[in-house]
Amino acid sequence: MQFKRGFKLALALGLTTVALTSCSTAKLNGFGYPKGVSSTSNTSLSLWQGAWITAGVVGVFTLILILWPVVFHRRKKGDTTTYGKQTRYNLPAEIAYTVIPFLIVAVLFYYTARDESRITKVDSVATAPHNIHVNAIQWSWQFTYDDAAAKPTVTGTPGQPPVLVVPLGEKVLYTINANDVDHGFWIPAFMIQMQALPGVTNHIEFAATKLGTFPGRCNILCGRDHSLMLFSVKVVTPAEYQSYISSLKAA
Amino acid sequence: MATHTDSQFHVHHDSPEQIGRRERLGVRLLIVADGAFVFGMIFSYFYLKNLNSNNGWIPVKGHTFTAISGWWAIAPFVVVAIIHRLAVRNRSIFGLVSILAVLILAAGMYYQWHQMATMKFMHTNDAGDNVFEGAYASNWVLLAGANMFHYILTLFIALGLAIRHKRAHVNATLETWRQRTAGSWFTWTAISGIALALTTTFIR
Amino acid sequence: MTTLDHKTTTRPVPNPKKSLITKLNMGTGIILGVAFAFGTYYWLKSGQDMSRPNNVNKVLIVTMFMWSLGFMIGIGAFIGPFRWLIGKDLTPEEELYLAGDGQGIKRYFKYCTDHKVVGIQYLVGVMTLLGVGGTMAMMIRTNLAMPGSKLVTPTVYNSLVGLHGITMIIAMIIVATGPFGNYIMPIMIGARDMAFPRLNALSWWVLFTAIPVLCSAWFLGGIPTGWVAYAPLSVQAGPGMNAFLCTIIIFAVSTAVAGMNITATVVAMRAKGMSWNRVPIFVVGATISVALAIPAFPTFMLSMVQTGLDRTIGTGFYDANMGGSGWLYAHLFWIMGHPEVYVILIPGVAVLMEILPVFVRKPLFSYGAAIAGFAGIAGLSAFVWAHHMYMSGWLPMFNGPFMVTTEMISIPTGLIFLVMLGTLWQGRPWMKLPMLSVYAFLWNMLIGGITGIYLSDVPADNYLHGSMYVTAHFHYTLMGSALTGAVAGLAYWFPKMTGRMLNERAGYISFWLVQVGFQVLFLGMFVAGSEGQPRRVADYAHMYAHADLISTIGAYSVGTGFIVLLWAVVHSWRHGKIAPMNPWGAKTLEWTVPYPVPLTNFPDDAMPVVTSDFYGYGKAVK
Repeated sequence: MQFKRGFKLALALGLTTVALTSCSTAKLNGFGYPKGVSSTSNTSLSLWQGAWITAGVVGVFTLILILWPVVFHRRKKGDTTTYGKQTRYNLPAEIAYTVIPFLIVAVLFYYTARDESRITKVDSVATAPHNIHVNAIQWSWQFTYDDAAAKPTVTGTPGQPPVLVVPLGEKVLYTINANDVDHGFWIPAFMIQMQALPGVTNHIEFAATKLGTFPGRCNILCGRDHSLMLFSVKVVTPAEYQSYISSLKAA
Repeated sequence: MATHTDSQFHVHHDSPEQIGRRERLGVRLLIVADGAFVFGMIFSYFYLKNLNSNNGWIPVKGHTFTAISGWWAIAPFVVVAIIHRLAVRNRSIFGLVSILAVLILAAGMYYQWHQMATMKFMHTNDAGDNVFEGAYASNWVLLAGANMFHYILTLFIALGLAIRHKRAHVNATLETWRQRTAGSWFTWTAISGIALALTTTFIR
Repeated sequence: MTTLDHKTTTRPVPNPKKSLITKLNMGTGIILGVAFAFGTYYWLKSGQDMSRPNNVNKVLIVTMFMWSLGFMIGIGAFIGPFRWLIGKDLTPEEELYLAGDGQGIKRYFKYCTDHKVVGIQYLVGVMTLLGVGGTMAMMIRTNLAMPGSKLVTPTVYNSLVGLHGITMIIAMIIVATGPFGNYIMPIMIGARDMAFPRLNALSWWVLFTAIPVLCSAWFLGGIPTGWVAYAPLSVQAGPGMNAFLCTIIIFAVSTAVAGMNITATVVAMRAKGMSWNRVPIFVVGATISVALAIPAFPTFMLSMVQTGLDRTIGTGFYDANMGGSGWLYAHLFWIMGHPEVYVILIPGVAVLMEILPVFVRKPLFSYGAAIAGFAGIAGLSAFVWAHHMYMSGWLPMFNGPFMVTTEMISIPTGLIFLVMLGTLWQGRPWMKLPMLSVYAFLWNMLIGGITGIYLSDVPADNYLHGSMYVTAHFHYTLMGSALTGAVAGLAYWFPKMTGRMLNERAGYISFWLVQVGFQVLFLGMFVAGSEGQPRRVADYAHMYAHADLISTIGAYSVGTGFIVLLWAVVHSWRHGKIAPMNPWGAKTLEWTVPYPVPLTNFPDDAMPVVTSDFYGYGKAVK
């Protein structure tokens, strides 16, 4: 009786867990993420999803191994004399537990290394179709467009986050700097970031492939108003981008 | 003050060999920790040297120490390590050598202090603050400070060995173990000194 | 009369009247420390232009170190070395006095060399630090309950985040190796004390002096950098930063000494017959952990020394204009920083591995794999630090190698799972509080481990780095796994350390409040993080409001749970049921000694001799 009740409880708990994780995975795994937001985000997204499926399988397998003895190897009520099998070693299990993770890691590494080189690939500044300089300051951002002959610079404040305007479907090379302290240039929707460090010039390159406005944030604690160090990315058509550039030139 | 026999002199009745062996192990483990610190400093030196960010490695006015001065600053460690080793093997000269070691270390300490007092790669900026000119200068002062720290510790140990040799009434076996353990530290200061001097040999 | 017989009660109290050591205690330490600090402060201040930050930093840093030095002189820490120097070693009577023989409660406030006293001191210290850090965590979560940062200003919030971080890191590093490593471990290996009893006292009291220094950060304007203290922000930060860097330097000294002491004890002082394949797994884990800490922490100390030099005498280690680099800081910090998380994790896991066989009455499955797992984690952890720097643009060609080493860590971690699952398999679990923690650990570590895989991949890290996801991940490993292990250890060894049983009902209530609240708390953070909420922000966008509110609700459950646990500990310590000598029927040596544990642990004529490992439960017994 005791055993049955415990089993039912465990089953219910297990099912709830599965249900809970699967509904949160919809969010967690980025299954709900918009596809095709940028030239690199699809690569990131498919890796992210594939890895979660593998992890899910490994996780559920381990979970079963954890719960199985709880349910099926329980001490019978009032039984204080029976001992479990006094196993000390089991070579096949040990080998399996070394070899299988090794294989998983090898496969994972192959895909991540391949995708990493795709995502972080950067053209030279000279050949990039568009160049935008991002300068992180305490606590906002400055954007300078080479297309607009390097000036004027769009500067934000903590109270008034700046807008980064980028052309749809065209590759942009971002040159990222900081003068004061470390900052992080992060656009979550594009699944991409790069740190802005004093004395260091970093680059990322991608094309935004969906119209709209996306939030961007600083993700390295940089002092008092770190949480207000925001910006937004506005993806516009190339024609609108050109008119924005000419309005900058005129200003 | 109670007199005591060999088996009783330690509060937990351990034998001198056990204690001596244990102390040597402890000192060697602390050397590992100090070694990580020294490794970190050498890493910093070469990292900033190769990075040479904003061309800021060499001091603005070009003042650096000569490569040989670094070797002079650590030479006492090497000498003391060697003569201590000889003295542990040949007990009759231990008293003399221990006093000599104190003198040599004191001289080395003075030289290191003198170097630090005469470094030329500092200036006062407009705000009135002291500023080191470049990363070489920053690293040099850190290395010199670490060397000074080694001098202070080593001088303490050498002084202790000299005084104890004269007046301590102690278990002879344990004292021999402790002298050898001190030798481990002296050898380490020599090794780390050579590593630091070698580091400062690469200036440009 | 120096003979040590086993009957502590009948032995005359040693009373070396002439010696200074009888007159020194924590009080004299504080008096001298405060005198040193004030003296230094006013003496240095008079000659300096205090309107310049560099001079302020100089004065404060020297003052803080002088407090620590003064305290250590005042409590008598340097009597031993000084007496060695002048060739008058401490006499057996004096050593016996230092061991706190026959001094009752007073010895807890003295420079006491008895490992059991140091263990209790560490236990109280750890609980204090966890309490302080936990209070800060509750304030952080309260502030984040709703967008708008209504509770505290951003400056206070940043200080809360940073000081919560460093307080917890310090507490977690010593949470298992401090109390259990000092109190239980020497008895477990059949030793009479630690290898270096005076250094043992030193490691605790040095750590003690770091606590007021850390607290002083609040009165000096807090720290704006988080516990990672990234340069150059840390160089430019206000005077509170001095407190931070002094704390780290003092703490690193304590860790090096304690780590050396524990390692030497285990290597040199095991009982007759305790060969390396018979050492209890907790001892192996604790030793690997502290042995990893010995080379790891000095680089943290070095990074803080360099920060201190930059802040005071005007060097430029981290100033790009002076040829320095923030990358250098990140390297030095993370060369310590990643081994450090395993320094925290391994003892917690080792405690659970020690507990598990007792409660399933089976041998530890695959002892060899357990050691290989610990050693593999410790070894690999020295080569993974740059995964914290994927996004810093530092030599991207090294990202691949660091990705491999980081992902490889999942293999020894898998071995640890194998050991625990294998031991559970066909076991007949005895569902006591320590055993429940084993399940909680497996669940938490599973989530913590899996979510960590993503952070080791550059493409996923590209997305998640610096987000709340990271915060949730490492809380699952450090709090959900290591702290769960430490709490299990407390419940398990409480009878040996206090002579009383921990209140079981309160323990269960606390367990469920903490563990369920914990899942809610960090599930919310995972969601917020993967939707793009950065770490360490006082305020956030409205889209994260739900996730953050859920987190805060979970946090309150965890907080309540820990208050219940604190009550249980305090109450049981004074009024708990008197514990039998071996309440769990365990086989390790610490359960063969009575409570209160005699000064020398084992009688002279009955030193333990080990003939097998400690996990042979077989069929009989009980």
